[in-house]
Amino acid sequence: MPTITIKLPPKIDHDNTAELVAALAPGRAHSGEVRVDLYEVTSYQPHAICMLAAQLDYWIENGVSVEFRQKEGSEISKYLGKIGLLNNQYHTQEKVIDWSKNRDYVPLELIENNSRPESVADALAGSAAEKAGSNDEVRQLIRYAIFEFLMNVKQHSRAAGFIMSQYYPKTGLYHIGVADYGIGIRQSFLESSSPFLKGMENSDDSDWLDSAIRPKFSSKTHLRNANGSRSDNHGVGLSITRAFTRECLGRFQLISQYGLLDHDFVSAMNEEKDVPVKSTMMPQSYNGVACSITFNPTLFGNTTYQQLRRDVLNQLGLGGSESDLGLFGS
Amino acid sequence: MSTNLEVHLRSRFDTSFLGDGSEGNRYCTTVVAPVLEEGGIVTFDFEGIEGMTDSFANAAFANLFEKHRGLIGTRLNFKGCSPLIKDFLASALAMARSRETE
Repeated sequence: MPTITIKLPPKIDHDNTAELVAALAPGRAHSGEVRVDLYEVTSYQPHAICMLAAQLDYWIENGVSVEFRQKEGSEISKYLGKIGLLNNQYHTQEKVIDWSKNRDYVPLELIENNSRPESVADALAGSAAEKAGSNDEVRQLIRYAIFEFLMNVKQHSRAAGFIMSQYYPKTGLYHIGVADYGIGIRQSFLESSSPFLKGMENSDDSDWLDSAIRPKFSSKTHLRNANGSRSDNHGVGLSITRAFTRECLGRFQLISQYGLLDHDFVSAMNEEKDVPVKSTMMPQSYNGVACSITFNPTLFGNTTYQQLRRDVLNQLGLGGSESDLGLFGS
Repeated sequence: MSTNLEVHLRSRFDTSFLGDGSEGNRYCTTVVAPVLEEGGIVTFDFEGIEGMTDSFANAAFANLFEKHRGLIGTRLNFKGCSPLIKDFLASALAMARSRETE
């Protein structure tokens, strides 16, 4: 089998996610040896690190030999080693350092079927909130978003996923990224014979992304559990998380196969326009789903998490009635 | 003879944040619903619960409310709820109602 080299771009942020997808694409169906060239890599945002980790994990799980080319002693090599991305399993010479011993580094967490989401969410939310000195209201929002992401991966992904959160002191922004390597959104609807397929027979990946952020839109809402009970899934997590991001003037990005949805609420506000109504199609496909949110916790101001949630749910038509609150205790 | 069940959620799920809807749905379906169906009384105690996801609220409670909404306040009771938790339960109830019209 020939060896192929995947040369990674120097920097991946929300503006050039498609460049990472294009760089990884030649290795998607490769079964020989893969050489990942990190030589020019300087900075990757959490969603990009998760996408890279999901791809690496898929290769390793499928017996593909992965080797890294990197600058000896470079900051990025140290960083990727510390977050556990480059470990001995991935055939690197980099010595692994336990990230938990150095609080300057944020964890990259693996999500598997047997992962206990409470532990992962608490670790990530606590780490990010502590670094930013955030109050409990912000911590609750971070934990909520992380948990919804975690459950999405557990419920929809066939393979393992990765999640990461990071606070950037210079910009004051939280980033939470998640990615899996799997069948993507469109295929999951096809495989579950979802009623939502009706009318979307000719839809492409970008159309499916635009629909995926609608409340109650999920590939599993029509399914029954083994014991005959209603599905666990009501299809609201993604739409609520996106709406929180909008309220906190952040950025929401969703990637599945060729589709790329990018809602930058800060730019939209600065330019006095709305976020794009339509997602776009990338030249290359990412095998799986990735999602990223960023938000500025200072924009919380005096708003409580409870009030923010009420506003968001009412906007989406998912809010409860005030008159029902008395049913749940005085 | 009917059984009464009190569920201290903090102890039952070993967390202050209820997030795993699959676990919540499984518990409500296999443990809680049978008690209600046999004429028993169920009380959910939210003491020590700081928050939850909407996925959990819907998977556990909207599904339960859809079948047993008429029992809320009589044989399906809630205590120790913070204002935030009440909001989650109210939106789960709204979800259950919306499904009746679908």
